[in-house]
Amino acid sequence: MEWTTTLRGFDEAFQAGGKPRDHYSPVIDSLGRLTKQKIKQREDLVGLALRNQGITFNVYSDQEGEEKVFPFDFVPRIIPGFEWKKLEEGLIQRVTALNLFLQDIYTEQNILKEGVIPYDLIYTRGEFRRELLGITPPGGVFTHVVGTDLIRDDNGDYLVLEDNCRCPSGVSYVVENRQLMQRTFPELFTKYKVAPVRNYPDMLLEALEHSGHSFGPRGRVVVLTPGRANSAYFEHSFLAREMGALLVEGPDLIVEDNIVFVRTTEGRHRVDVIYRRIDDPFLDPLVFLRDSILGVPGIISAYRAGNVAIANAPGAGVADDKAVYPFIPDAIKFYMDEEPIIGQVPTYMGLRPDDLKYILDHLDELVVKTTDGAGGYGMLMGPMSTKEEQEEFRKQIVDDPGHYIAQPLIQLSAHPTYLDAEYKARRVDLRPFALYGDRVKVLPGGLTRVALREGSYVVNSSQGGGSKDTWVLEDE
Amino acid sequence: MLLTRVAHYLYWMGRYIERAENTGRQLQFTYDIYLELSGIAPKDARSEWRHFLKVFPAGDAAPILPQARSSVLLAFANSYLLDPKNDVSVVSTLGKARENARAVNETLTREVYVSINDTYRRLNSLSSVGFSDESEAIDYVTELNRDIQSMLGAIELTLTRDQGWCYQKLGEAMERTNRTVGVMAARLPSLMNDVEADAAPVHYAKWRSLLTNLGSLENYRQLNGPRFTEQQVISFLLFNAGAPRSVLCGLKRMQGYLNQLPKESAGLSLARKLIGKLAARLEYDRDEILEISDLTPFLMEVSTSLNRAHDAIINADTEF
Repeated sequence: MEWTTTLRGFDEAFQAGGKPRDHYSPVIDSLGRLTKQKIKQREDLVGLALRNQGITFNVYSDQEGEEKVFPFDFVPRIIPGFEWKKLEEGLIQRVTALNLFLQDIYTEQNILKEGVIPYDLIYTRGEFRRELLGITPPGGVFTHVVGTDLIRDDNGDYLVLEDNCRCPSGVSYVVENRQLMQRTFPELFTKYKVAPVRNYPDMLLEALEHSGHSFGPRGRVVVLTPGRANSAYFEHSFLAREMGALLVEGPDLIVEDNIVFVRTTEGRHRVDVIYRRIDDPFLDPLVFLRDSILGVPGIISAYRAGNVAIANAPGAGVADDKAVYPFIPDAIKFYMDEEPIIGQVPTYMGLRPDDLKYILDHLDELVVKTTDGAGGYGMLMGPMSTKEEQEEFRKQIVDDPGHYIAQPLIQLSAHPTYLDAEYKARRVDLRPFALYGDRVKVLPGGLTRVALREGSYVVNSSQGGGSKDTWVLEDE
Repeated sequence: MLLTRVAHYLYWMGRYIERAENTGRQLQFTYDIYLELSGIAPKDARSEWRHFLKVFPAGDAAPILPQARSSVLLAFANSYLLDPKNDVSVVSTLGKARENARAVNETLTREVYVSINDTYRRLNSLSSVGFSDESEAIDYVTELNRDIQSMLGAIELTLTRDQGWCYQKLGEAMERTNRTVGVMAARLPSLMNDVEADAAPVHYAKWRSLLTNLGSLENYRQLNGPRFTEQQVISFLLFNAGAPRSVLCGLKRMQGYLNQLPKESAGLSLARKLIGKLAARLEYDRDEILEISDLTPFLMEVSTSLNRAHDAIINADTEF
């Protein structure tokens, strides 16, 4: 079967002349021998398993609120062990620094005092919670779970595109994708030594219990979900089941005397650790959004009193704000006295006058993002945009420059992807998941998201993206 | 440890799965008996569908009984299997069971969720198309009933026997017992009035229909042989604690599940009291009940007590 490598940028699987990279050869060889009919049968099996097991996400913009299957592409993304080792070190460094940064800005604020990051930048971020100043969370950890989005530039160097320090999602697909691959393409695994990912729920539980260890040898952990309508509900349910934890909604919890309890058929039981999958504004109507019905009144007060650990800690979102992102390499140097192991994308900030001028002069070349945007929404992809779209953005940027950043368009690496009975090159990113318990640990691999539409750079599930199984090879 | 909200969802999941099973099965058996009677007693044959409508009241969504014999099954199958506007259709009830299961997915096994989800999805995909002929409908209803049995098998084989299990089975037993009472209330009056007038085949067919609709024909025959007498059938359906769809069996099951649930709850205590009183009445007033010429008021009384017990169970989750 034909494999195309037509896109510009780095190709994950093929060298410049079209020859497969060594670590991809066995997979390309095996898949190349499968007939279209055989592949169709296996794809049907995958589709059936996804639908029957309810491995779905909800799209808010969908009028019917219907559950969608997150498209799965069976051509695995493969990362050699040596390459992963460096990435892992870089992620541990970055997550450690993000946590130190959060500890600092909510207490001493040394990084602000030293002028490394401007005060007004932090204090104008919506995700910076002044209500939480002076509070160190139980266990001292702010970012128990971090999903860092990585891309590769034309040379194949990994770059951090953004950090996700609030409620990063997608890890359930990492585990389920591996299960699907093992069931439908078992022969591919015989040729590789692939690092397992099935133990993620155990790693997560260990990290969560560690944050609640001051409450007893095994703190009672619950997973707090906004409910079935949430786009990531499958994941909430999956993680609760796999950890053996209770999946609770706001009304299942009650706070009395600054202690959080869960309502059970046998009365109330104390809760020590809340793995919340609800954003800060909805967490506590007494502190944040008053009309939130998803949260728990009094939960922040219990957190402030040190009676419950919340993962990730409230206020952690400021660390992944797109306006703070350009300062993270400086933060790594400031707190750890180290050079960043993984680079990041050059970023122009609307709040800097020189950068603003550059952004406005180069709208047709840059990718412009709002500082609090997510999911691929609120973006201008300059090179693909129309004059009208650019002018619309220009007005918005001039109105509120601090709300925008811009970056050069990075090609994103390409990866063979099976579409319409052919192997085509499509752009991918990678979201590895790091957990912070007694120390930072990174799950090998992560979620590879793929832009299924031809020419697209947007890999988000809500905008036509799919996912792949990601293999980290263990060194012999 | 079980969340009160989860208990509530599991209870309803049990009720809805049982309701879907009842609707599918009774649709199939009503059609069988309709075919059997339509040659020899067309009026009685059509009455079978009227009984069905009484047991599964669907309001405005209920189909109008067609005159043409060949259209009857299609009308009922399209309405009672596939019509989402019909609240008691299998697609509606299974959809609700699935929503409840989805809300507590983390407490179920994969096998249980997959069987519910798979059956619902296939049914739902048909609902926009509908059945085009009778044989397609009858094949499908047979397959559906098998799928629901597999679903119940997955529940039986894979779920832990804990409080969640008790709530789920409590819902199932409540629905089943209520349904038995409902079928008896709908069918007994005409059976008892017409017994003299009916020719033997019709007489047997109608009693057989009552038992098959309650999935109890084989069990009855094992105990009583091939003959049907009013006393024996009523006695079997009300008092036989070993027959899975008898009223007493349902009450005993509910007592068993309720006794394993927390004693502190006032709602559950009330449910225990109501179910206990009903069970005692059936056990100790058997002869007195069998002498009642019109059982309808008695059955209504049982139904009212069951509904009160249901309310008490449902409200128990707001106590803490």
